[in-house]
Amino acid sequence: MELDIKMIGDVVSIVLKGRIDANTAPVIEQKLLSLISEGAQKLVTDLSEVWFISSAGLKALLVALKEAKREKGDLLLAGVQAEVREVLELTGFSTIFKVYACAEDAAQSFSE
Amino acid sequence: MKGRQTKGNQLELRIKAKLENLAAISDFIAEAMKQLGIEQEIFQIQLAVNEACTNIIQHAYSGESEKPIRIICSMSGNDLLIRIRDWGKSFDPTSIPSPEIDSELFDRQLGGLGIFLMRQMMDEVRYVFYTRKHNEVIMMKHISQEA
Repeated sequence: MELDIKMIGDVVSIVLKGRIDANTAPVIEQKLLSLISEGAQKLVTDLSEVWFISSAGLKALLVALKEAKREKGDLLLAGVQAEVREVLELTGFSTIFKVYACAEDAAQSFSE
Repeated sequence: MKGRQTKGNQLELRIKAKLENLAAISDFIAEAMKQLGIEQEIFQIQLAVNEACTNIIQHAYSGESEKPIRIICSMSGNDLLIRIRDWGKSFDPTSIPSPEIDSELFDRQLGGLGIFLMRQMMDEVRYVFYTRKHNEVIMMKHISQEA
């Protein structure tokens, strides 16, 4: 699992690569929560290179989304692959998260 | 400790109950499914096995353990059978209520998603507890078309 931070204008894009499971989800959750506590309100999670997500990964994203909303921000998902999309849809997470084709589209949506 | 074995049409992995081993378990499932002629459903099976093993690590063993998880995959006709054994506490995730997947963001509960996904990915999920010995999750999936 790799995690990189990329700025798209004033939007923080968290680029994840690999698998999000119970082993890697806590690192992602902590990173997202620390970004939010440091004041980031416009966040995008770029999942274009994530091919596996388990319930632990969903929980991490949900915890971060709730925290972002509490701080009057938002956490968007981008580049969701077919397998991950299937999990998001089955669990109803696709209605909770706003999902965009790519990180740039998601970042753009903040200024619309 | 990480052992793979093939006995007849049975593929087996014995691995320590560590979260870092979840990736190796997924790799084993991908390889085992290919050997059993399954191509389409690999992700679904990896996810169900991942959820079962995560439950074992976090609940049956109450955290990471030097003790093993044993996974056995086999085919019976068009049915894939996966048996996952642990030597920890008896833990029945089917006792956890299913998540309300239609609930709004702030009402969303975090529990129960793992077993929910296992049931969605597989056709049958059962738990068998052998007193003072071991526990076993038995999962079955009907494979529509073998390669």
